[in-house]
Amino acid sequence: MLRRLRFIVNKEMTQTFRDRATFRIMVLTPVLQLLIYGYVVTTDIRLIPTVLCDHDRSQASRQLVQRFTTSGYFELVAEVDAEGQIDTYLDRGLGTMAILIPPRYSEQLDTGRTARVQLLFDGSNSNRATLAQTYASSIIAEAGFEVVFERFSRMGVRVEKALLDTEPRIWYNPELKSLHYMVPGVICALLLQLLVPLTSLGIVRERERGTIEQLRVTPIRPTELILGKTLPGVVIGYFNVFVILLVGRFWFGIPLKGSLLTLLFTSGLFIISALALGIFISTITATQEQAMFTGQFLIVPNLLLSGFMFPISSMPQPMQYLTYLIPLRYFLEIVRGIFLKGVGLDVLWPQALALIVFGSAMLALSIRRFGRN
Amino acid sequence: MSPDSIAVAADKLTRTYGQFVAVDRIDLAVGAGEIFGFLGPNGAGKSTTIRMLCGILAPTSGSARVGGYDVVREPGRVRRIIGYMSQKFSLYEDLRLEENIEFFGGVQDLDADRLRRRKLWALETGRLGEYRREFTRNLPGGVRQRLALACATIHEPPILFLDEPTAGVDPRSRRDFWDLIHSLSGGGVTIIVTTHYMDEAEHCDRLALMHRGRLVAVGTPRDLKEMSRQSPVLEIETGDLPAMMDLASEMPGVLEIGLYGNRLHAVVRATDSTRRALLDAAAARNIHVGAIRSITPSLEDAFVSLLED
Repeated sequence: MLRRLRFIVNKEMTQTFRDRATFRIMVLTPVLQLLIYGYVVTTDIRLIPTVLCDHDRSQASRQLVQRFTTSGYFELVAEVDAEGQIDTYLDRGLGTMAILIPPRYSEQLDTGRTARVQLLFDGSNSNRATLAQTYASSIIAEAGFEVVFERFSRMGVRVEKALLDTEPRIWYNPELKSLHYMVPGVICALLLQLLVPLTSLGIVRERERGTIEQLRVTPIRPTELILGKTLPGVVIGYFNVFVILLVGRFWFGIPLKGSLLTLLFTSGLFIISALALGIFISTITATQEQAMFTGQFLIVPNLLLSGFMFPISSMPQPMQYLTYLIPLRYFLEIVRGIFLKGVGLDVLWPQALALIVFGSAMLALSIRRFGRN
Repeated sequence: MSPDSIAVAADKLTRTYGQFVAVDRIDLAVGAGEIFGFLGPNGAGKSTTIRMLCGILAPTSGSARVGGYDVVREPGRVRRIIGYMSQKFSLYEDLRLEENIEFFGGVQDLDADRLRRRKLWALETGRLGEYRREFTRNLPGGVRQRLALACATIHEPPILFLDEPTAGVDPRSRRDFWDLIHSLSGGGVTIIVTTHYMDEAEHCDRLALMHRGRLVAVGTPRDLKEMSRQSPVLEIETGDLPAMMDLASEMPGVLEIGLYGNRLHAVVRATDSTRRALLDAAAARNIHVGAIRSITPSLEDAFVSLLED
């Protein structure tokens, strides 16, 4: 049994690594994807391009603008003289926000009247506009307080600055860097995208080329063939995990709070789940094309429903139930838990168990499907 | 034949696909050490029969025993004592020649020592040595065939099934291949082979003629020719094949008429009278006839005349 399994694994490895194109894809994909996700897919909002139209041109208006630029969230990309010119920047996407300071702004402040500063946002990217608005409002509010305090003090009243303040503590990812949140997710997404297609051709290729005929007259059992086609993928899966961990740790400087050993162990569970899903596809499809498309077809909803990009808690209730069927969901919770929170299996065991159940079910189904015909 | 010496036996073995009956209640008894051939046109049910005997395909009804084991109930045991070469080349094209041998030897449970010896045997007997590091996809047809045979026999099975082993191979390589088969047979291996090459059929100890899923006749090549000898065959050379064919098929003395190359073969009741009648009729219709002569029926003719019964 073990000896036959060894020969099957050996053969699969030889075939996989002999194919140069496959090999390149397997080595390059993790590095490339990690770089793309790391640099491009950041949800942090920094340096929002801002257009300024200052009709007042006073010291007070310049101070207000400075509050924006020194915050790090806004960057002045243009100063215009007329309000009409703002449109050109927003229309072309050159500016996300515009600050419009009315004439006599400082005069209004000095005489104790309400000064109205207008903020314009490009709402076509609603997420970005919302964040920009939040940042801008807090900057304006702070400036407003300054004005009030100044008036009180001019009247000879001393006021403690903080009337009511919150003291927020952000746990796990104190700087709220989306990169720290992203990279662990990339491990998960990448493994799924790479491993499902890897095994999804396994059985169907043998069937299409007719080699299955020859295997059927050998003493090879269905279990041996299914395992023999799954195990080489584990090596490839672990190779990718290592690449991502190294790049993430040393290139992006992402700290691993929890145990490396737990991470590797649970990665193995997910690797097997993904490979098992692929091998199952290969037992239910008739051609390699079908298998490829079925794999692709399943990967997208897996990514969308896993919580990789979109939080599960914001999904409608029926969709949330659906996510329980997605192995990626559990692995994401595990990886983020280990990476960011530093928790171990004492907390994450239900997710680990879910992966074991999913993986074994897929393997058992594949063995049954293959054994039947 | 005594039960001990029967290598392969089938009892009303049947396989249907929906309404279509691919193999129809076949009874067989192949003796140990025999070279037994299935002969018949494409779609006659030869491959389906072999696949059932190998335990790859489940029979719809009936039963078969191979080496004493029931193919349905003990497929695992059957697999250990048979070698099988499928109709389509089914080794790994992206492996080297020797890697295919090692793989099939390994999954056939040969231990390291025996695997090494059998690999040497395969390379030597199959004259594969010079190609051992070649990728299988690049091998010439004849070498591929010999490699497939080597992989199918790596575990020294006493019973060997070959499904059209020489399809698409040049005549020279076919002869080489049959030399190998004879040497295996000389070593006591039972060989069951399908073919639609009549000349190959002559290599077999016994033949089963298959047509539309049924066994039409079983016997030695000589028996089959004998059986058909009751109906003699006339070979007709003519300048106008279609017209001559029409004419002959209307003639009461002609049982069957078929085209062989640029000649016609007519299975007839009586040689001389029919020959004269054909010549007269041809002359009356102004059809040029080169010659009409009586010939010894080939297996093809035997096959055609047996199908008539």
